[in-house]
Amino acid sequence: MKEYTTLVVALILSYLVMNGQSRYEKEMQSALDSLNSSEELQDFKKVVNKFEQISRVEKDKWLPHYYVGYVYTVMTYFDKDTESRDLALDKAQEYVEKARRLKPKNEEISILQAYIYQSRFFISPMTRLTTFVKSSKAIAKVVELYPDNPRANLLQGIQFFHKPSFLGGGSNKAKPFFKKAEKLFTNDESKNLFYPNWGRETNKYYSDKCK
Amino acid sequence: MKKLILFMIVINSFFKVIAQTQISGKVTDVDGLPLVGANIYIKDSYDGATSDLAGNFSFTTTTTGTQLLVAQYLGYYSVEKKIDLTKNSINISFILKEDDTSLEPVVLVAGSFDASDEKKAVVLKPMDIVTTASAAGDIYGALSTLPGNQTVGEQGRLFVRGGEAYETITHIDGLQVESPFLFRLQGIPTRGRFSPLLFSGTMFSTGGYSAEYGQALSSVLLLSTNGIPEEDKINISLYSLGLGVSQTKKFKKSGYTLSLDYSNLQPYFDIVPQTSEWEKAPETFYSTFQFVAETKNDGLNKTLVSYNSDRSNILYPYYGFDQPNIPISLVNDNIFIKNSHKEYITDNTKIKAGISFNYDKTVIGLDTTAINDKLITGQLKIALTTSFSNKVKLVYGADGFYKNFKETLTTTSDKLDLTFNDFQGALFTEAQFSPSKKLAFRFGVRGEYSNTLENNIMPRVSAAYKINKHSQFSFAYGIFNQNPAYQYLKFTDKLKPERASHYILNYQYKNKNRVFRVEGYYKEYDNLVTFITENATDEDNYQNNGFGYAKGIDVFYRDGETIKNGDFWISYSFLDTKRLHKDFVRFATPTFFSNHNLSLVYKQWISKIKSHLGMSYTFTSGRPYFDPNKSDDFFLSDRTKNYNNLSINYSYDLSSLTKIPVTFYTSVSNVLGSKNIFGYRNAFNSNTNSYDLIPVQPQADRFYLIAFFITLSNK
Repeated sequence: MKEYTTLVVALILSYLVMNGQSRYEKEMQSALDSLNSSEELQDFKKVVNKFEQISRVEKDKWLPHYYVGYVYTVMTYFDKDTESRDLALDKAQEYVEKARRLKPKNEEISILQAYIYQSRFFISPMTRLTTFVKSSKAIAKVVELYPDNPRANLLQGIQFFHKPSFLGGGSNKAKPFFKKAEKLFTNDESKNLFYPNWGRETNKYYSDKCK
Repeated sequence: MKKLILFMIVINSFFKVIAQTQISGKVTDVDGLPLVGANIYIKDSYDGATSDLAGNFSFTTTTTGTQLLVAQYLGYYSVEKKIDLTKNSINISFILKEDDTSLEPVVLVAGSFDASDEKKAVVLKPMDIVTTASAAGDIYGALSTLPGNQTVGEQGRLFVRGGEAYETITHIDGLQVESPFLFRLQGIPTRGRFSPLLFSGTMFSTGGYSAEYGQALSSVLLLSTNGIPEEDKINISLYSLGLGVSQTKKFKKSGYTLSLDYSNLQPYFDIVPQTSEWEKAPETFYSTFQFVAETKNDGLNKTLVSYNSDRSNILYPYYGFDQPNIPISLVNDNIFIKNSHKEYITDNTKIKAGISFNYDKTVIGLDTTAINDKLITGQLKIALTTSFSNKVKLVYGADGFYKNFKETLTTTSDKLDLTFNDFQGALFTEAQFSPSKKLAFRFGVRGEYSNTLENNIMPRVSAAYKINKHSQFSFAYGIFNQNPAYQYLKFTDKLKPERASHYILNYQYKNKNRVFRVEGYYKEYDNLVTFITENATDEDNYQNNGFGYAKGIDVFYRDGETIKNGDFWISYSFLDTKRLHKDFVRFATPTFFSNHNLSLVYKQWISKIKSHLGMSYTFTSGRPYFDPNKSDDFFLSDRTKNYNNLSINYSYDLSSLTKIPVTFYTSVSNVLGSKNIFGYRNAFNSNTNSYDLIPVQPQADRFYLIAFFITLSNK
């Protein structure tokens, strides 16, 4: 009988845990899973809505805010409309600032900020010279501060890759950064649950292009 | 145990069944079009969905009672609706309205082409200057493809809306540049002294500009120099006319760029025959030093030092005399130094201050006569901007300008000195008021004091109204004064400034990378200088009796959207202008201006072959000239034939072959070889007892340029 009681308590507890406390984790996990399987703009819109919803409930957690900013940024690479890309990045900017207020001086947040600047430039590479300078500065800074972060190295690689070689860019200059990022990605385990670890595929895509 | 587990499962599913409500519906905009990817959610819960491609959404929720259902979409106002979750299913639809606050605010664009703020300005970007085919890397060459500009092939300067070249003034970081062009004789086209690579921002105004700028009748060109460089590098350029080297060094909060450039047209002239005969082709040395440093309070301090020297000997035809060409030697040295500083002195007041010095010396040697011109100018300027709120902004400041001009004429027997000195001070203030994102006004006034000329008060007004997300109207009015040129002031001190009034109405449509604008204007000229050539040295010869008008319509369309990796713009200007000025015998259209000007510029980046291809086409209808064999009634009544020029350029990234970044660049102007005539000079022929008309032609039918640009960086 005693065993029964323990079992019942355990069951009730697990039930409560499943439906209560872990809702955040469940929702985050499902949003991240959807993010990993996203292929087109509509998928990303769904995911970003999901993260935004989580961030509205979990007002004091920085990660949902971070991911809203991240997905709005990634989304711009699947969108052809320059105007809505700028709007998405305005939104990304808003959320990266929210995340920073919740978690000041976080390296991933600084890197995301640099990523947003870079994406701003890619909306119109032919015409956004000032934005280019701004993003180059931000990226150089995160690489200097966090030389062992694979995402910082990836961004630096991308920046050089798309910079015309007569201005000091080109694939030869980008390659070492993709190489370094590749190495760093192999040990890039999430430090804790849901901690940012994106970029592996993008890095592979670019390092293949550099060969 | 089994029973218990079963019980738990039943309880669990029972709760779920009981508490679940299905919510579905549709999200559309006010026109009934579906909004794809809108977020629909129950406030303060995890439950929600995203609308699909048809705008439909559907989800289930376990929340109960009365809740708020929110629909939100990027760029639209969110809508909240109360729902009662007692039913099993709810069907609810949303109509979302576009959010005005995400509108870009209206901009005062009448008369101006802004090329600095990247998100807003889609009109002309700094890079466009370098890549415009007909420009051959010259700032002024690229700007002349914009509407309102007249192509004047034998000059190379800007002629804006019926205004002569001297009516356009160039400013660098807010400071006036007294001699922005290389010195060339009449009929030989010049180009800008400063490389477009020095600047990252260009604002070109064809009228109605701010009270901050004075001393320009028609137009101002505002160039802003580069900020702190991004990295260390060395640039080398080798081109068919010369070579250049520049070194850029970046420090933590500052950086410099030093550039040296040498060009000599002699080898080129040896290969490609020129219309003019040169004893010594133009040989030019350019050097610039730029230093930029960040200072406290978001401040930035920029220094530019430029030295430029130019030498040439031309054999100038002795029109109308049966004599060999006379050799004329030209020597020009120019120094321009400026320092400008900006910073926030309080949270909402920004100060911009600058000081500049300019020294320009020209020696023209003509047989045994030498004309020695020396111009020294200095400027000090302070401008403050205070923002009282995001709706009200006030700009105020002062400007001091000192000018000293001295001309010495030396012949074997005689020496004549002509001088002109002036100190001019100005105060300006301007209030900008934007009651909403759709409406903006600017009221300004500029007062100028001069110790030799008349004092002036000049009002300036502009307004803009946004009709909808993509289109707006703007209007500008202003009075603009400019002191007469040194060539008159050296003889007399009795002249007043010349004056122009501008009235401009502008409509602009902008959507993504497409811009369409139409601008109509009317410009009235007063107090223009008149004289009789024969009495050149008599001081009473110069009067302010001239007047005139210019009116027209400028149309501009730019599209960077339709063609992938391509970009093109079309400018068309219609101009009607007449004046009585200088030595005119009748009220007439000056020789520079034609009724129709058309430019088409096209650029294409082809990534597959790492090439950039550019093309530009310019057409201008015939320009007036005077046939002195006819009576004065026919003064400037004849027209030259139309002008046509198709230029192309091509650049190729050679890096994959050379391992270091190298770009190959080539351009050819007037590919079709059109025989263009700019106008006619006349010369009296004593044999026929009549005037001969001598056509003014380009220096060569085509101009070729080949260049290699190499970049070395230490990374």
